[in-house]
Amino acid sequence: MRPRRAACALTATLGLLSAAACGGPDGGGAAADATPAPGGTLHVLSSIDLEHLDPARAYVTSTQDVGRLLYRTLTTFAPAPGQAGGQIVPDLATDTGRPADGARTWTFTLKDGVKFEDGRPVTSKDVKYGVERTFAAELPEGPPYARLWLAGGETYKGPYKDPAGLASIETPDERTIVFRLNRPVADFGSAVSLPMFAPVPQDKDTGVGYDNRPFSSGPYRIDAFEPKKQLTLVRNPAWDRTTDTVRKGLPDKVVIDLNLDPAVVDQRLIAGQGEDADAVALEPIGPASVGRVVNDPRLKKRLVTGESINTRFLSINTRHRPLDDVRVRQAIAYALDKDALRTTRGGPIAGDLATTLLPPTLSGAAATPATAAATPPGGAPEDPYPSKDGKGDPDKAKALLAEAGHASGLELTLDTPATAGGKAQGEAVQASLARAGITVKINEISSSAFYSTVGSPARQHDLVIDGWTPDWPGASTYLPILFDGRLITPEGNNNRAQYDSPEVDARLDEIAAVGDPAAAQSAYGELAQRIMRDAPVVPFLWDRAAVLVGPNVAGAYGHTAFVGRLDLVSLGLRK
Amino acid sequence: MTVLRKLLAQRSAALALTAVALLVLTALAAPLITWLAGSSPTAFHGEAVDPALGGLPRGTAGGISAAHWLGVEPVNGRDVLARVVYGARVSLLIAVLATALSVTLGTALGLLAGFLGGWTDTVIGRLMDLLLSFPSLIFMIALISAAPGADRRLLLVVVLGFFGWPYVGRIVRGQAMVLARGEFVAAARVLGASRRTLLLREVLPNLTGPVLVVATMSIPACIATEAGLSFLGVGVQPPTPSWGQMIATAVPWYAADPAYFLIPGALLFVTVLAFNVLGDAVRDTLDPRSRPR
Repeated sequence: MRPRRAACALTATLGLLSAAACGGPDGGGAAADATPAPGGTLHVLSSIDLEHLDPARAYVTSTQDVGRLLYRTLTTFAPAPGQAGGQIVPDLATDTGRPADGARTWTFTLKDGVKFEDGRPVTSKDVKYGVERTFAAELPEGPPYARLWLAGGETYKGPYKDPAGLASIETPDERTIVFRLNRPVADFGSAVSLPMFAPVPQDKDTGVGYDNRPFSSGPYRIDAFEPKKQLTLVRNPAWDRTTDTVRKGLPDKVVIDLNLDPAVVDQRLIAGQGEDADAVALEPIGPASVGRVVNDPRLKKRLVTGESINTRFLSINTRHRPLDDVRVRQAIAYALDKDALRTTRGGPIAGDLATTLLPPTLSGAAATPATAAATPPGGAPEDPYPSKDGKGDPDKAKALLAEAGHASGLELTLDTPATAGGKAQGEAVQASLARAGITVKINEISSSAFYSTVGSPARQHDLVIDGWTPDWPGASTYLPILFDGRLITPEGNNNRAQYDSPEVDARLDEIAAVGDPAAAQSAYGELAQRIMRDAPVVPFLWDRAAVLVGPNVAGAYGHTAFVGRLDLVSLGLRK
Repeated sequence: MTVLRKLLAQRSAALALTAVALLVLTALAAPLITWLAGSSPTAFHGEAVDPALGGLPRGTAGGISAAHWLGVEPVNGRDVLARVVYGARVSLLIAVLATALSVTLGTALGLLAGFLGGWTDTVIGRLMDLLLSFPSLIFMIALISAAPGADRRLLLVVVLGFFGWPYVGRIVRGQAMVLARGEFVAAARVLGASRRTLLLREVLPNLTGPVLVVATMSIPACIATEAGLSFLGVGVQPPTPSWGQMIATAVPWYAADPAYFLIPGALLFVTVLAFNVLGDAVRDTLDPRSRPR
């Protein structure tokens, strides 16, 4: 495994959440050299649908990237390529939070002069209400931190059922908000960068319908939204750029075309004609276009590479028979052809093959001499299920299956999104497991319903093609969210392996209480290896994203928080 | 066998018949062909594609080589020859069975409607009108997506057959109405033949011609619809190969790897054309009025 550049160490999420991106070798490229100018219409071509615009439900990196144009949060990620993008900076608040009482109480002061799209000031009550909404059962997809950490959060049912509100969020005045937590949380200042900490005015809340028309506090407001088709954003006249050090707000208008054919997006950006000169892709380039772009120096200049710390993996439902037998899961880990899976995503340009749960930059491998001795310097921890070139070891897998009493093979169902890429990955899993005698049936799910389906233990099947980007740098928003057996929920579940080990749960609690970040990081690194022995998931890729931009677009760089996707708030057009 | 002889006398029909025969033979011999070529329709060949170029097949024309006679699929390196011959099996099997279903249903119901008339005709006639006016493609997509667990091949046969029968039924009904008033039917009736005998002995045999024509025309329509449904993602499930699915996967690759698009595309084109030419020729042969003088 080629070590990731140390400078690029950061965080990422859910195939969905936040990630660390570096301007790769070509990353800055031509696009970043030119200075973007104000004005014009920026076009964003997306091959996917936006999962949820409602800040309470936005837990997918693509939507969070778009959401940053629409709403402000107490803190946010720095608008910068590479490692710098993982840094948390103040946004609505004047600083990144003031802890007290051993990090059990966090106080934020809102900036003066921040307004909603109708000109009314953003107050601490709006932030409080926005957080309270995330407790409502109707809005289930968001991050779990509020219910996990806020005192009284486990019993609060949200403002629709309990209008009195949550007592542990205090608003002593219009500009001050205080969060009282049930435990010390050293990185709460990072947590409030999530969209769930965006302000929502109570009189504008339309419940589930808010998803289609969130009320803007950012540089743009929604002009028109046709779900699955097009989102048109126009300037929010009430946005004051002097209050905002993060968003450039350069284009007058941003038009996001949704659900386009991925091949069409690539072709249009390669041609770069007309309006498409002012366009960027939301998703990375498709495998079919990679050859053409890397062979043409002029096109290669327009390919922006962003690194991330997103890890992609195959989740194995540990509650389904016969996957409750660890040997069967280990057999799957041995059989999986990681290289074939990477090829479906575009080959080496799409990232490095994963050998364990945490990318090298998150594993803490270099943090302590003890773990450093066990792993090559700067490299990833050893793969517990090694195979030559990551192509899988069917013989080992067969032996394990035979030992578990499944010598005659078994049949499993894999959930994939109903997209060309989802099907290609599904077929790669199918073919590699078939070599070990495992028959895989592919269940294609419409991409907009994908995460809500696999996030429901009642509806998910045996295997899921999955991934995770920590919500901010560090493993504290990765392992505890994905592998804590106490967090398995009936809807919006992130522990899709339904992994439930009291030993791991106890260890997670111990690490959470560790104050020293470096010690916590290396402890997480060791715990990751412990979890890998149970094989609830099979990591296969540490992502990099290569995104095409139009010839007239400037300011483009991949952002770590969005799995290497372009940071939309910094884009502008050349004049 | 005079029909066959007449068909062979026309050059276009003879060509079409040869193409169809070859295709059927290929489909039947698929395991033999892949055994000879040493390939499998589902095995990945990572070494035949270049991951650095996004999985583009190595070599010319989509990786055509001694090991892979028609090249390999991009990304996964599956053998294209093996996939097209197995895909032919799927396409033909579904088309033939669906046609058999629609012809059986259509003949039976059309015959009853045309011969019995009255309320039977009204009920069956309205049912056919209803089905014909249905946006059948959309309905098929909905129906197939609604039954995720079912065997897709069986489901496709049932769905295609069900939506195909009214086309057969209408023609049969019209013919049956004419035949029912024919003198030979009247004569048989006077001689005391039962209704059943009239239907099966007098009317049905005279319908062989039109039914045969409709059937030959229905097969290419079914092949095309099955390919269309597979293209839209509701056809047979992966990794079962099908031409429509191959074309769907090949679309993004049309610029980088045109051979991958051309091979299943050309096969689908030739197959549908051959069946259509054959259908035309059968009609010309059986229906004296349409024969060029």
